[in-house]
Amino acid sequence: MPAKPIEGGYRTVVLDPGHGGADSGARGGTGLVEKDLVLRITRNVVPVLEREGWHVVLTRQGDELRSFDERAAVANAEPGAVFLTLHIGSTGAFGTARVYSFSGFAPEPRDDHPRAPGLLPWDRAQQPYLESSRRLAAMLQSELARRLPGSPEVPASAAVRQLRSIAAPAVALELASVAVNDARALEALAPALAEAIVRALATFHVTPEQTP
Amino acid sequence: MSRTLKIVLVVLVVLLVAAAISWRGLRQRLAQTRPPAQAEQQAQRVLVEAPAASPTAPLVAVRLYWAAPEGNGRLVPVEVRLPLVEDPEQRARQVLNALIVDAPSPQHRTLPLELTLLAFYLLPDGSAVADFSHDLATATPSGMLSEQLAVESIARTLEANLPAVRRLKILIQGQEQETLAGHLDLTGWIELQRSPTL
Repeated sequence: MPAKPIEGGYRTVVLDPGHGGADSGARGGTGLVEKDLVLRITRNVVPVLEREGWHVVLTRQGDELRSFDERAAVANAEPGAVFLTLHIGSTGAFGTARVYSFSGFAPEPRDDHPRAPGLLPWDRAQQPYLESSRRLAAMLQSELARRLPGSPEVPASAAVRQLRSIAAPAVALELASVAVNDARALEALAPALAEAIVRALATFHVTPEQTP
Repeated sequence: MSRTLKIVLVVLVVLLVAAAISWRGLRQRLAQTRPPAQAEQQAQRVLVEAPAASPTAPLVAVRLYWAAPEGNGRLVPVEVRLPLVEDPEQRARQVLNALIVDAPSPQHRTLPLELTLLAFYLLPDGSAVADFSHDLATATPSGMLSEQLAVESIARTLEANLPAVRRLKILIQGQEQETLAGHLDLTGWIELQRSPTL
């Protein structure tokens, strides 16, 4: 796929409510289902971002099953976008949030047929954006730590499958957790989450680097 | 209806009834010869069980990486002494089996107790392949934190105790899986020297 130059900073946020359809994601002991909760929380975040002037694109509107690559295709079609995949885990202290950027690319194999300049292999699309993704993750984790006590101060890195094929700054956010008894307790975190995302994106927006 | 037609119909009905009875009996006999699923799993566990160390095998200090019991999402090394064999492949199986079953408490556990390490291969270039039972995908709690703890505990434990292992590929039931339980990518090799810090 063609590598995209960034012109005029970031203006679009692609929000990805994880899972959907037959893929329920994490399930809590009291019957809470990640795919439903994460969609409701995402819908609460959208108007806050739009009020701040961001163009918001969702990878799914309802309970549809979307593959990792279908979600990546939505993000990769948006120029000047940042990507945020939202999840609710099975573990962790309630009300905390962790942010991940991608790590785990093996060294690039020796290639006897060098690719055309400006093209990225789909399964390594995130590679040129690793540094900007780490920067965004650090900003978002810092904002979350202020609003959701107990959240770590620094982000993590992991081989999150959804992030690998995203040709844009991309992070994953996981809230804890579906183990809570009442879904409303998790949904009540949406305003703090939205505020943290808005603040982090505002900081990120004013200091974009030219990648790749 | 002619008499011949009636005879043919009666013979057909008798043949159908006999076939149904034989089929049912055959199925029952097959069911009796097939061991129940639990017994199958037990048999599998026995077959792939880590090699028993000889009584003279020396106790070796090994570092196993489990989750910090306070639930902060970090791994902590715990030193235990195991009677390890010399062969690196067998030693890896012993160490990983201890990681699965010997966690000091449920809070320390990163891998499901019912998990079985089906096979472990170590190639001369340091590439290792660990093949786990389907429980790795079905019984590990879904989520980035829990899946990363599972993979990192395996990687860090091998890193600490088997210097010959340079990189690791995780399979489930002999197959490459796209993710562990919906989040963490298992399609690539895990470079042990570059394991991210939890």
